[in-house]
Amino acid sequence: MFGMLDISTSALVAQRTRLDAIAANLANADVKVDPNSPNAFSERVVEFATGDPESGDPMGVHVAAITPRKAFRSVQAPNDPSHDANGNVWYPNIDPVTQQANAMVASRAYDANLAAIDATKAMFDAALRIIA
Amino acid sequence: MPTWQCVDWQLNPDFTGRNARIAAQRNETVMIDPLGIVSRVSTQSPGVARPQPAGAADFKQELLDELRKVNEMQQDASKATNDLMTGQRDDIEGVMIATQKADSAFRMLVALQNKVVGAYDEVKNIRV
Repeated sequence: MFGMLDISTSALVAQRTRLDAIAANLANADVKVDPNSPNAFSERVVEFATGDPESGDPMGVHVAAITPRKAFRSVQAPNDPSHDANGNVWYPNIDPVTQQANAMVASRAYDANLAAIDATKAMFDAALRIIA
Repeated sequence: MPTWQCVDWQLNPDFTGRNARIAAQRNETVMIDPLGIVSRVSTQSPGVARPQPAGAADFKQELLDELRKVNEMQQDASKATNDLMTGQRDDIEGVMIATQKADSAFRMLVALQNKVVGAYDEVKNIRV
């Protein structure tokens, strides 16, 4: 009876996960990294996939993977103590403007799914008025 | 005298015996239960389900199942809220939806109950 609520909930969780990743990207945009290290922070990209494994609903959505983009940018800074052999300091190649736009998309998608939940609730209440 | 004869007719053992025989010949249950409502119910042994058309679900069983489901939903919602408060889960959406589900299901059950009680009142107010 509440299948549509489960679908919208899975979408809410997925969009919030995307917003989490965007927040991490923005927070770490100015962190100096070693591009040769496997643990170096780079832009986190969230991939969605159909189907909600939590509720088993095939129409839901879930986060399939959060993959690092492995892209870095260098800044010539010979005076920085952490520069490499060529006098470069490396940062993850994160564009804050793009991240802001992605955050807006995720936020709007979250709102849209909330609106879907509200519509479902309104439908249920309307149906309840048949007998109540 | 006609009046004396009339009393005699009523008190005559022959006539009263005839009245008793007539009463005995009649089915007593029909007299006290002209519509057959009581006898139809009492002839069934308790606990035996009434014959139902095939495919019809037992209303009582349906209602009990529904009650159990609503109870489970409320326990789920309560547990989800507790887990959120104690930090054992962090998906506020799932908790809110569990609460919403329990609320909607409970309101559905209350509406059903009001409907059943309304039907009972309707029957109760029938003049006999």
